[in-house]
Amino acid sequence: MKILVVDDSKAMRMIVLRTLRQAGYGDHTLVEAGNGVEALNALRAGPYDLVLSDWNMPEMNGIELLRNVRKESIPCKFGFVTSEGTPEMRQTALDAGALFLIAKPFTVDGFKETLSSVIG
Amino acid sequence: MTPLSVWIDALTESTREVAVTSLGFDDISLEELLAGLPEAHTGVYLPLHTPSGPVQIALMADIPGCRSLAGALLGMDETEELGDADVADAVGEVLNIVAGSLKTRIQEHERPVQLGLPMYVVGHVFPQDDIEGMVAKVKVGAIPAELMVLRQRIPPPEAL
Repeated sequence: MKILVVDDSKAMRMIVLRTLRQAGYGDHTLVEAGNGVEALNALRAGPYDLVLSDWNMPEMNGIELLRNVRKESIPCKFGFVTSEGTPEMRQTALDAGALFLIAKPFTVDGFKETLSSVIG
Repeated sequence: MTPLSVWIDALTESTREVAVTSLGFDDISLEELLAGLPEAHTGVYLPLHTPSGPVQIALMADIPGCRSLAGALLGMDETEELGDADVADAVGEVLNIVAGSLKTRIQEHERPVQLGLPMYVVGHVFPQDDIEGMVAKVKVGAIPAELMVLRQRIPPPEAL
């Protein structure tokens, strides 16, 4: 399985990658992108099975990325890993086609619980 | 308009949550609450767009303190060195996570709140006279730090 981790913070990408490994997903191919534009280009060149994206990013934010992915019918599962987890944002994410929203701060167990239902 | 004391309390509690869950500290201690500007001038600012107008929040410390906060987020030990850009990025992410928690805590008073992107600043801030602020001097673990809320003062109705 190929997973794309999208965040403008290098520190947070490192933490998400580390958490994925600790959650047992270290055997998958993990790829990084620094914003929505980079991620969309990577997805066009794909294929990727899962995208884990931040919401607030320069260039193209996470929800714009998701809407572009769906508009271009790029096949992949999509979830947010973001510092904002209000009910309104969760609903916006789900309405746009996201499968989940993991709010920071997160735990390894939280990742496992959410991702196990999405990628097994 | 939400009192600054409500903002600073929510910011302090959000920082406490992130210090414990993401940085691995046992707690933070509130040392002092001050009206005005912080003494430390290194750290991260993050803009918030609120129904009452723009608000800036900040997490400030001296440079070794910022390095320690960055190292704590990344799970690094004391011997590992971080470059300046990595410190700026990591401390920015700490405040970004704090801001997400703050948004939830403050929604009883301010809703909707939109978060901007964090900016690392080294230097002095010279706000205009109509800017008001409040600072919480805290210790994050053993790291002295300052939390700040800044916003434009609303003139009294008779001045409008």
